[in-house]
Amino acid sequence: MVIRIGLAMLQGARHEHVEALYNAALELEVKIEVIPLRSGNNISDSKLDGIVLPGGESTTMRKASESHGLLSSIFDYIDENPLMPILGTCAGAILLLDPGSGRSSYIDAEVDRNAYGRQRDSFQSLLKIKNLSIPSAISEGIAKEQILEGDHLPLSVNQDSKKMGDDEFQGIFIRAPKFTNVNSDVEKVVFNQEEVVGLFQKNKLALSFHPELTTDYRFHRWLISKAFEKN
Amino acid sequence: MENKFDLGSMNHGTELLKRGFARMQQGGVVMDVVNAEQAHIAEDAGACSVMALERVPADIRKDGGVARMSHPDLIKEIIETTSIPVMAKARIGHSEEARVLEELGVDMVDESEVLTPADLYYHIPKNDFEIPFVCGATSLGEAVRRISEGAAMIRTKGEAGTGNVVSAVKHARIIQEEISYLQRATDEEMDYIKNKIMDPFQRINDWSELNLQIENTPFGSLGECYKNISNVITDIQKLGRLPVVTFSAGGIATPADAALMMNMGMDGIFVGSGIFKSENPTQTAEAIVYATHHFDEPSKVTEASTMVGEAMQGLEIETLDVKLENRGW
Repeated sequence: MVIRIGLAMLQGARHEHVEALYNAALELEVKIEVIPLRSGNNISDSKLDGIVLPGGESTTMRKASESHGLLSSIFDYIDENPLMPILGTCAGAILLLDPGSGRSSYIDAEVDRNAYGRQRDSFQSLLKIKNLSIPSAISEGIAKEQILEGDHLPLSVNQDSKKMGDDEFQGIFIRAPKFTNVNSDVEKVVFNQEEVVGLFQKNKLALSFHPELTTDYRFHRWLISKAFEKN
Repeated sequence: MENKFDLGSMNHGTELLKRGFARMQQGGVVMDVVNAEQAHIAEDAGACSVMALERVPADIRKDGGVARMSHPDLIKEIIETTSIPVMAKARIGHSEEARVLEELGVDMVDESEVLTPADLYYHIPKNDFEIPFVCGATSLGEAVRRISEGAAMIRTKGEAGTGNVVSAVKHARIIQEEISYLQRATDEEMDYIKNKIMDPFQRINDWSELNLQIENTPFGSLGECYKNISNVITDIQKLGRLPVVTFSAGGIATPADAALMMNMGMDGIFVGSGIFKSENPTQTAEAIVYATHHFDEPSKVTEASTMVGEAMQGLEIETLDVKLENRGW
């Protein structure tokens, strides 16, 4: 069985997710295919098992989508498949909390954009994961660079992949949003000290940071395992 | 809303955060704007960032004189009116202009040949800053030097303010050919390449009659510089591309120009004079964004090309008095 993960090719850090997904699949010893979603045309018959909404500039992503309807097609698809596993990082998380165009939030909370300030205030911090079950890696292999056809080369991250505790994660916050007014139905699953930076509801995970910029693929493993369960 | 942690105690300005910022720009268009109104047009059209400056390169070219960092009031005005990131230009080697831009809250500094260079020997030591830098390059060596100095993003220099894409294509081609040479070079050739790339760090020697025995640069000792460029080269050999996000800039004036550069493997586009010197800036801006997102679909690039009116008046490179690509080294 091949698990099909759709990746919204709006704008921003997309190739990093491709790399992370294939590496996570290798760690879980499952086969996946990353399906680039470029326009709204054929999403409804693309038979996806999971979706990634990547980071970028949320304003730009929305504007970009207006002209070709990609986002509204993705949201329609999610509405038809309400338990579809989704990983949204940074701008992608903003889209889950505030899909716009009168649609109601997929995760019941509000979001404050660029809440920590400008790029100068962007930061790294060691986070705590709570109450999120992430399958362990079976194999340690590193995926050969997986390139989407007709697309640019991925950029490998030069970074010490220092081993961390099972409940710790290196958080990279770039002009990050902040989650506010989190409804009690929503599970708070990742924290920076007391601040919640990861939300979970109905198989949807919104992270205000960028796991795709690290070589730690746990959140991508989470998505693949949820997509696997769906089958 | 108050933070539930001490933001000041967090780790800021790391290489990962700087290069990560550039990664969020991929697939996007950065637009030159000279006032808040233009910044709004750019944001509404889907720009991923705006470049705040007093005059677009075409006007700098026409007016002549010394081109400097823009006035802080202008930059502040643009920062306050947009929600997307704001970049601004500092002169080559002018660390203090860069400090002012950092202080103002600019998200990325463009150490730019469009402004008049301030230092003939050294570029800005970019690792000393918390905000990321983008630098121009006309060749692999230039790109390697800038990355080793701390640049988090590279753009081709092209020839700004001309509306002529030929130089942007030239620089992209040279960099690509040189990367492919790097990947097949013998050990002997590698030594030659590295020494060639090191030479400009000792540029000051050319202006001294004393045959200076240079040991130090603003980026550390020559030994450290050599180690840094070697590391960048190793990354390039491994990846087959530059290890930082690489945009195209300098002369891109139409949607088809943008698609051309994207199809050559560029990660995104800077448009300077091409938008606000065109007949209908709003349409041009939207069309260039559309063509950049759909660079590999000829029908959509055609659609984008149909949207625009008259492009900016272009200039023949051979007739220019000042070639900006020759600034920096």
